[in-house]
Amino acid sequence: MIMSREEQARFVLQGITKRLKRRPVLQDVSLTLPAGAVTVLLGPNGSGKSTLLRVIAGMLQPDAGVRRLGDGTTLPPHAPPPRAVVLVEEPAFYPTLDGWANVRYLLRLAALADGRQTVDDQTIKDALITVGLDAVADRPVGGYSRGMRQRLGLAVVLAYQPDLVVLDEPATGLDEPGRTLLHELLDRWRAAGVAVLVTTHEVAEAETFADRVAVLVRGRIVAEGTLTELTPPVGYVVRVLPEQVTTALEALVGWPVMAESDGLVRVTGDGTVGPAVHQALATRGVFPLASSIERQSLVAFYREVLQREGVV
Amino acid sequence: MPQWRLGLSLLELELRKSWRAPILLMVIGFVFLQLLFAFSLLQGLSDDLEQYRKIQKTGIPVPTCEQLNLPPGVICQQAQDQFRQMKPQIDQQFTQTLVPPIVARMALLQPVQTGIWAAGWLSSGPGLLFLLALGAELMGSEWQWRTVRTVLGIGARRWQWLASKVAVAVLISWVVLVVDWACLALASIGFSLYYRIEPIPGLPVLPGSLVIDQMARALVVVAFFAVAGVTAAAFARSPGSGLALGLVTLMAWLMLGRTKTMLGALSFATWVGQWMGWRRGQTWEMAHLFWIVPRHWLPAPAWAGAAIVLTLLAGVGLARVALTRDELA
Repeated sequence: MIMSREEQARFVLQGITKRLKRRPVLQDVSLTLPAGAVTVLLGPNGSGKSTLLRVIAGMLQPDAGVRRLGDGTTLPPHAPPPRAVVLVEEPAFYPTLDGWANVRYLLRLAALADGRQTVDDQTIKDALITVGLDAVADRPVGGYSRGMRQRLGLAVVLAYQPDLVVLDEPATGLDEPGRTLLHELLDRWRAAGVAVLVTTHEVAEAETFADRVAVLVRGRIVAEGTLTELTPPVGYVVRVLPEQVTTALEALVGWPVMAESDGLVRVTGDGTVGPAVHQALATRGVFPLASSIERQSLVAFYREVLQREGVV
Repeated sequence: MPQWRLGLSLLELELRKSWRAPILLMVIGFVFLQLLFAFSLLQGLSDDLEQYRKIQKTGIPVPTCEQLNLPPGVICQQAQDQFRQMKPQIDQQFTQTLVPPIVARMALLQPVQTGIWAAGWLSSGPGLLFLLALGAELMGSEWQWRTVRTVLGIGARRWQWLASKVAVAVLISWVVLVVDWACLALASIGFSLYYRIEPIPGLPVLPGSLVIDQMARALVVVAFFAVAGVTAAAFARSPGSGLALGLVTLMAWLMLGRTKTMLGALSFATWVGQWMGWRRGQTWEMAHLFWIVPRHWLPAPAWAGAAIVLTLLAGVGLARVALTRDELA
C-alpha cells in the first residue's frame, strides 16, 4: 500500500508565523518532513531559515501555527520534538571538555529528558570512529577545528539515533572526506526512516542528496516539492557509440539537437520526446547504449525562484 | 541506567566542565585575599593584648591634665575625681570593647577555630561577590560558548539542565568553604609561629562548638549566594551581565539592609546576619563591614528559611522565564 506524504510525515509545521522585534520573520510557513527523506531548505541570507529551525526545536515560540508529530500530536510551543536533534548554526560544544565527554554529556541530558535508556559508551565510541574523531576524542574541544566540530555534531546525531535530524549548514568547514561522510550519513538516515532537514547555501551539492526541496524567501515558503516535481525536464540525452554520433545527428535533423563528447547526444525538449527520439534513431540503425531525461538543475531552478521573487 | 545514576553522571560531567582556568583563578584569588586579610588583622594583635594585660592589672590610668586638655588646677582636679569615681564602669566598658576583637583574632591562630573566619568570610560581602561571580561564570558561559543551543537542540529539559547548574554551583561553593578553611588552618600554623603570642589567663576563648555551628550555617548561606549568581546569569544570559546584575541587586539589598525600617528586615543582609547569629560589635564576623542586624521580629531560622525558599523559587522562576524568552538563541 502506498502511503500519502502526510501519513509518512514525521514532523509537520502548519501555518507558522513568527515576528521578531515587530518584524515578520516567518509568515504562514507550512512544511512536512517525511520519514526516510532528506528535505533541503534553501533561502537567501535573512530569509528566516535559522528562525524556522529554532521554532522546530522549540527554542522559539511561534506567534501562530502549530508543530505536529507524524501521529498528529500537537507539540506545546516550547517543547522540543521527541527523539530529535536540531543543530542550529554551527554546533557549539564545551571547550574544556574532550570530544568524548561532550557527546556523553549531551546524550545524558537527552536521556534524562526523554526517560529512555541512555546511550552506552560503545555506541558513542562507534559514532566517534565513524566520523573519524576517535584519535582526538580525548582532546579538549577548544582545540578542534571548525570541521572537527561539525563532525562531532554528526557524532552526537549518530550516537543518539533520533527520528528527526535538523542540520544547519552541516557542510560548512568540512573537507572533501568530511562531505563524503555527510552524504553517507544522510543515506544511512534515509534508509533508517529518519526525517532529515538540512539548510544549505551549497545548492549544487544539495541536489546530490535532496529528496525534497523547500525554498524560503522573506519568511515564506515559495516553492516546495520533490526534486522531480520542482525541476522540469529540459531535454533528453542518449549515449551512442562515438562512431554513430554522425548518423544519430542525421537521424535527428530538424530537432534541437547537440552532440557532446563521448557519444552523448542531447535533444532539447520536455520529457515526452524520448520515444520519438528512440524511434528516429532506430530508423537509421542507431540504438542508444543509455538514455535519460535531463532535468533543470537545482541551481537553475533556485536562481529562477529568486529572480521571480525579486531577490536577485 | 536508572534516572538517579544518570543524574549523578551528569553532575560529574558538570563538575568536569567547571574545572577550568577562570573558576580556578577565582578560587585561588579569593583564598589569597582571605589570607592577606587574616594577616592584616593579626598585625595589631600584640599591641591590643598588651593593652588588655595592663587594663587587667591596673585598669585604665587616670588621665593627666594635659591628656584631658585642661589647665592644672581645680577644674582638672574635679575632672580627674569624676574619672576615679566612674573608673570601674569605664574599665569594664573598655574591656568589653577590647575583648571581642582580640578573642576573634586569636581564633586565627588556632587551626580548627579558623573555620569561623572561613564561614564568616564566605557568608558576607566578599563571599557574596565571589559566589556571584562564580555562579555567573558557571551559567553565563553557556551563552558565551553558545552551547545553550546545542543543549536545547538535543531536547534537554530546561529545568533539568538548570538544576544541574544549580547543583554544581552549590557543590563548588561548599568545596570552596572547606578549601578556604583548610588554607586558613594551614596558615594559622605559620601565623602562630610568626607572632608567638602567649595565651593570657582569664582571656575568654570562643567555644569549639561555634566552628561547627558557623560552618553548618555557612553551608546554607553560600549555597544561597551561589544560586543567586546562577540565577542572575541565567536572567542576563552572559557572565559579565550576570555579575553586573548580581552586583546591582546586591547593592540595592545592602542599602535596604542598612536601614532600620521595616524595609531593612526584608533585606537578605538581615536574614543572613540573623541566620548566622551575628550581632553588631562582634568583630569576628565579617558582617560588621556590611550588615546591620536588627534583632527582633521573627526568629532567625524562620526568616532564613523563608528567604532561601522564596529566593530559590524566584530564581528558578526567573531563569525559566529568561530561558523561554524568544531572544534566547
